[in-house]
This record gives sequence, structure tokens and C-alpha cells, in this order.
Amino acid sequence: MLVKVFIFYPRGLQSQVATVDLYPWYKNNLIDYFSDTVYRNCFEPPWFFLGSVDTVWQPKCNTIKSPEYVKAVNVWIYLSNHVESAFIRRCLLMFIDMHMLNIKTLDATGLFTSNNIISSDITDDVIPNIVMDVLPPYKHGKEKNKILHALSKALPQRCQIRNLKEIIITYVSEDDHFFNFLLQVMKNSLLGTYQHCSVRLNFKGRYILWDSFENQLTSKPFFCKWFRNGSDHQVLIFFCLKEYLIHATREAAPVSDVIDKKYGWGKFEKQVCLFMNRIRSRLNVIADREFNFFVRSDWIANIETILINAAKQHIKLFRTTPQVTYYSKIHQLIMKHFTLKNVFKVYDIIQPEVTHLIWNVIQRLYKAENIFKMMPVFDLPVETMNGLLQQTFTQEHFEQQTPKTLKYILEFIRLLELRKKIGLYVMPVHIFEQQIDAISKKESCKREECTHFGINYLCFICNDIKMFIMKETNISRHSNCLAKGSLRIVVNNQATHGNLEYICGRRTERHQRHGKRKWRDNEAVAQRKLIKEKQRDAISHRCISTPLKEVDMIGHFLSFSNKMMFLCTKCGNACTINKKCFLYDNVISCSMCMHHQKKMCEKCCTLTTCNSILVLDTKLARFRKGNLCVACTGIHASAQPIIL
Amino acid sequence: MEPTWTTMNNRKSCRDRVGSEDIPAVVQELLKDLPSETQTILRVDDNYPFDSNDKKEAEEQFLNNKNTNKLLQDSKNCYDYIFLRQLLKKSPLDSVYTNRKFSDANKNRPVVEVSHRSYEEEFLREPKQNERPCVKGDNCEGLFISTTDKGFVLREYLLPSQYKTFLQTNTLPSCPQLCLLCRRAAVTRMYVNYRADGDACSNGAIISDIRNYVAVTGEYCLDQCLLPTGHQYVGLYDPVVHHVRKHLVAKRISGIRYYKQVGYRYPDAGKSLHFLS
Repeated sequence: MLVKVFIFYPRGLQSQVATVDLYPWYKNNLIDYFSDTVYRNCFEPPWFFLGSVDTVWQPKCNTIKSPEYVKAVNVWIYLSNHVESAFIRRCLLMFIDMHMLNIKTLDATGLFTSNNIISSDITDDVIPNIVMDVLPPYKHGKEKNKILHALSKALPQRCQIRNLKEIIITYVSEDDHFFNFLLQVMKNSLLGTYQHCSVRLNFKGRYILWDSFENQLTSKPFFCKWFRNGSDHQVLIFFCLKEYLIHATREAAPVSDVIDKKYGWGKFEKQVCLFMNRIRSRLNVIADREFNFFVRSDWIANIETILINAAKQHIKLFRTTPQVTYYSKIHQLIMKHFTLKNVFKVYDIIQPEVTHLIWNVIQRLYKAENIFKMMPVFDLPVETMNGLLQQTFTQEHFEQQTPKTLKYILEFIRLLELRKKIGLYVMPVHIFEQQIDAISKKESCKREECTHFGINYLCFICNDIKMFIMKETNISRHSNCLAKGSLRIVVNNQATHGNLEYICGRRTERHQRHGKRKWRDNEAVAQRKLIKEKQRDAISHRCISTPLKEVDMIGHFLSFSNKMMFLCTKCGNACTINKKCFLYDNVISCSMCMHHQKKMCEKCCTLTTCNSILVLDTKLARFRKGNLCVACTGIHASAQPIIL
Repeated sequence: MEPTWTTMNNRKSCRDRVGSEDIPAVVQELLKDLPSETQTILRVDDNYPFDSNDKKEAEEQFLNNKNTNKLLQDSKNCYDYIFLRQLLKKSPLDSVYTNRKFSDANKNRPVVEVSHRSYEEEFLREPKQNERPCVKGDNCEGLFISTTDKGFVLREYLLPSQYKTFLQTNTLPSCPQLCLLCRRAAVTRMYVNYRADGDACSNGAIISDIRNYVAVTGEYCLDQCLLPTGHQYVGLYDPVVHHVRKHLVAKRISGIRYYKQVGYRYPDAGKSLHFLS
């Protein structure tokens, strides 16, 4: 039975509203599986079962008023140990978990009270984020999600367990959601509820651990104290997070396969599954032994010894720092070579025509490295070309080369790197159409006249982007929303062919007032700063003598120096992409222009910037989000619910 | 240029055919049965090119030019290099064609269709009589859903435009297609691949021809979708639902098996709910 429910939280209706199945999937599967057997009535009241079964769980209360339920629970326990299908065994154990509160209540009172708890697994919500925000090549932005950060610590990389203890304690203290997530992940791992678990915790273990989780660990101060005092508890959490990662990548269908082929994820998966199954086996043994004990041993400390051994064999699949390519390394070494010889203008012999030719050729190559095959065209040695193609050309060969050869190699590598970091992609029709609409509205022109409004510039020498990119700020004058044209551009009226040309003006705008600071440093530091300054001067000299590259941004998505840029479909300004781009509209937009969009206040009917507030609409007899201006929000927000 | 091929019957000046090395024995046998007037065999006229010495010299020069490895400073322009000339005649790769204007791309601009949640839910079931199953057959993603051990092969997914044609003409697309779940899984696979390969391998292709609405009542939540990233091209411009096996639960309605998307939340569901319902 599917029922739509919505949950009230102290701060109002939350977005976690979902269609909840009152019969969870595992219960449906059990009813379906045992439908033609004698156990068919064991899963629903009145818990009717005629046969006899071994009693594993005997309620502690002397006066049992629901013997049918006790029998039914023991049937579930019996079936969970004897059913052939691993899937049904898993369903049975999950069903027992669902009834654990009932079992405990009956244990205490002898009376069955139906606590129909349908707890949705809060860890499920994080699965889609694993692909985008945890697996490499994820780059952490300013907004750090605590759960995703903790999960990224569980990745198979080096130095991951370092600081985990401090991070976990800080996040648990700060964030309830993170704390609940962590408890759930620990519970799932210890009980073995994941699909990939080949060993699951038996009823006795679940019965004991349920008490620990519900009565002890759910208390935040207790958890923090427990976690801080135990020297090895971080290893347990480390592995629980790892197992969750494995579960998430498997649930996200082909992700596990792809990362196995790319990085060898299978090795990591195998190791974690092996050790986690081993700890559950150990827990099963301990649970069988100590189920009826009054004083039990420290189960967690017992299993942590297994995990400490596992942590020593930490698998490292991903890099923590970006890999420097062979060609970048050669570029750095040649620059150093020239610096030692006090040569800073390394591009002086490279004519603009040469650069133009190399760039035109490299634009047409599928394998960009093949550009080195063009070296003999410029009378450069074939051996050097072969060395670069086979990546055998090293620092030792520099002395044998003429300065001309080395300078040409620098230019080839520069353009090769440029080719890798630039991309101009064609956008689909629906985005293009909206961009044209936005620009025609912004520029007050017809759609056909928008041709030139998308033109902007890039400097291929200093990699400067000349667009006014929308910035998220509360101060509107800095958001660039009113900006037009390009920035940091100088017009050269002395170009060789007599025409005007646009050149990069980045260096000319650079402030020099702190330039004298270098003289206060010691000699070595001052020397280093002088060298840097000379290198920058050389680049800026080339910058101002090279025309800018023109790009048409309409209907295009520009990728340059790890920035993805496009024209907003609402305001027509250039912006970078982030998750907020889809919050306000169904087509990608900058999202900043939507902040200040004027709406009609539903209380005072003023056309102004409004807040989206939860209100109770008396006409519709339902809650909905209403638009209220700042003044009305201040007046009415304290008296919840706001009635319209 | 005039043709260098001529027929045997039309030209008398060509040499006689002798026990030819270029006519196979089997054909020779067949020719014996035919009268010579009716035989028309293409042959090379050896004397033909010697019409003018100028032409011969021009041809030789042309061929020599092709085989000269000139230095750049000796050449009049870069096009003296035949391999470079051939390469530069080609258009640049799509993803690095920085000179492209928007009007150049308009003809081949990709179309991405909107797929609503309610529309998609129609395809999360077994096929009926006039429908086809997923082209992946026994490898269909519908068989690997983790909340059931009795999965089933789903119905082939049709784009909204294809579905319109299907309703109007009752004809399915000529090639069988993937079901919705396999389609989502394929998008996820390509998405992860794009990210893992880095910018070096991005060719500008779009990995999904459908898009989903997010943050709209009755549709999907933003955080359950795959999105374009801010540091790398991933082949997406719009949100596409991220396939998670656990988010689907099998149901049987009127004898037909369906998958319900119970794990995919509704955004801002308060709008669609009655007070105290």
C-alpha cells in the first residue's frame, strides 16, 4: 500500500517528503515468497502459526500476553537461518530489525503493542552524490558537505585516516544529520544489511546491538566520549564508511564496473568485504556465546583488532595530487634551463605565424601529441622529435640542443597544453533558443540582430578570460549583472597590417605599489622574486604583442582553464556552472539574476523581491510555498502557520 | 582532363589483343563463344598521353612537388607540405573549433527532449502486446533491481516525439531501443567515464537525449540527478535522473509488473498535498 506522507519538523515542512510504502519492500517479498507455505500468516497479525519451532528468543517478562507473536518471532529467526535464498534471508533479518522495538517492548511489558515503524534509510539519499561529489576527480568547493567530506576520507587514497577522529567528533557535535547518518552507516555495517554482505549478523547479535545503538550511541555526548576515549574506534568508522562507499557504487548500477576498469576498484571492494564479513562472523560467535550473559565483553573492541590489521594493508587507488604530465615536466625543466642562463624571453624567435600554423594543425589532430611530428617543418632535429613522441627526451638532452630547438619545443608544449584545456561545445536547441531570447531582451534588439552580442575574448598567452562573469554576492554592484562588453582589453593601433587589434591588457593594469617589498627580503629571496618578475615581464611582453582569441558564446559552452562558462538563459550574462544553476528554472541559468526577480507579495500585493515562505492556503486547504515581501515576512513569520 | 580509357571497337589505333596477361583464362574461354563485333572490353591506350610534352612536364613537376621535403624557409607557403595541406583542409575537431560562430552550428544543434516523471513511470513496466521489450534482453537493468529477486525485462523506452508517432501511426522505431533504466544506467556509465578520462578525451558529444525537470512539483529532486560539473565537460547540460537500484520497488497492478520509483523524492511536495490528508 502506497501512501503519500509528509513530515513535520520544528522548522516547518521539509523537502524529505516522499511516497512511503507502508509495506516495506522486504515485507512484500516475504509475504509473496511464503504465500503457499505454512508460514504465510506469520508476517501479519494475528501472527498465526500452527507448527512448533525452536525458541531462541524467550521474553524476559514472566507474564506473556502475546504468545503468538513470540512464536512468530521465533519462526522468523528459524527461517533466517534456514531459508536457501540469500535474498529472503536478508529480507527476514530486515523484517526482524523493523520489529525490534516491538520485541523489546514485549520483553519489558509482556504485552504486544504494535509500533509500526517504517524507517527509511537516510543513507540512501547520499548515493547519487557519491558519483558527483566523492569519487575523483571531484574538486571541493567552498560549500563543504560534511557527509560527503567524511565519505571522501574513506576513499582508497593515501593519508586518509589522518585527522579522521577530529573531523568526526567536530562534525558529530555540529550536525545532527551527520550524526544520524554515521550511526546508520555503522548499524548497516555491523548488522550486515547491505546486499553485498555474505555474512550477516544473527538475531542474537542484532538483539544486543540494538540496545547499544538505541540506548547509548544515540546520545551525542555519549558517542563523543566513547569515540574520543577509544583509540581504535576511528578504524571501525573508517571501514564502515568504506563499506558504505562500496554499497553506494554498487547500487548506482554501472559505476562500480566503470571504476573497477579505470582504477581497479574491485581490489578495494574485495578487501573491505572480506574484513567486514570477518568482523560480522566474529560478532556472531560472540553473540552466540554471550547472549544470555549479564555482563558482556566489549564487542567493538574485539572486532577492532581485525580492522587494525586490515588498515595496515590500506589500498591506494586514487592520487591525492594531480598528475604532472611528461610534457608539462619538460616545459618546466626547459624554463628552468633558460632561467639558469638568465634568458627570460624564451618566445622571442617564435613568430605569430608559426604559432598560428601550429595551433591550426593541433586543432585538427585527434591525438594532440602528434603535433611533434611537425617539428621537421621548422628544421628541428628528427631525433628530438622522436624523443618527444616516445617520451624519452629528458633533461640530459638539453645541452645537445640549440636554443632555437628548445624554444620551439616550449612553444609546441604550450600549445599542446592549451589544446587540452580549451573546449567549445555546441549547446542543444532549447538552451540556444533561450539564450537568444535573453540577449534580445537585454539588448532590446530583434532575435536576428543578436549575432555580435555573444562575442568575447580569451588571451591564449596568459590564459586570461575577458568576460564579465556573474558572481554570487549580495552587493549588486559587484555581481557583474549590469556589465557589458569585455574587461582588461587594450586596443593596439600600431598593428603591422594597419588595422586595429584587441590585445590583452592584464599586465598593464597590474598594480606596482608593492613592488619594492622584494628589497626588504634577503638576497636569495630577492633574487628569486626578481627572476619571477622578469618571467612575468616576458609573458606580458608577448601578451601585448599577440591579438586576443575571439569566441562566440551564443549557443556554446566554453571550457577554459578548468572553468565552464556559458551565457545565462535568463539574463544573457556570462556565468560559470554550479548546482544552483537548476534551482530556479528548468533550463540552465546563472541563478543570480533570479534572486532579485520581482514577484507579487501575497499579503500586501506589492511587486517586489519576495521570500518563499510556507503558508496555509485557506482556499486550497493545503500548505504551499507563498511569496511574501520582506516587510510581510517580518510581520507574519513569527505567527506560524501564516494563513492566506 | 580527358579520359585515358577507351573501348577496343571505337579506336583502331590501339594495339591488337594478343594472348593477354590481363584477361583471365576463364574470360578468354567465354569470349570465344561470342562474335568479336559484340565484344567490348576496356583497355589502356598506351599512346594516348604522348600528345604534348608540356603536359608531361607539368605532370612530372606536380609529382615531384608532392615528394619534396622542403624546409619551411625555402617554401613559399606552408601548403607546400602536402600532409599539412591535407590536414588543414579538414575542419577542426568539434570541441576545439574556437572560430565557430553560433550560426555555423545551428544546422547540427542537438535536440534534447523533456521526459516528465509521470511519462517515465509509464515505461517502468513489462511490455504489453504491441510493445517491445528492452533491447538488452537478459542484461536489462530491470533484472538487477536490489529490492526484489524477481526482476523483469522492462518495456522499450520511446522518446516523447517517438511516442507521439507511435500513438498516431502505431509504428515503433525501426531499431529496438533500451528501456528507461538501461538508458539511465548507460548515461551514468558515460558520465563516470567522461569524468575519469579528463578533458583530454572530451569530444563534445552529449550523452543523453532526454532531460528531466527538477525542483518542480511532481518531478525529481536536484540532488538525485546527474548534473554538469563546474570544472570539466561531462556531456550533459541538463539534469538527468541518476539510476539507483535501491530506489525502485516492484509492484503488480492488474497482473502487470511495474517498478515504483519510491526512492526518488518529490521536490516541494507540500504544494500537491491537502492539509491534514
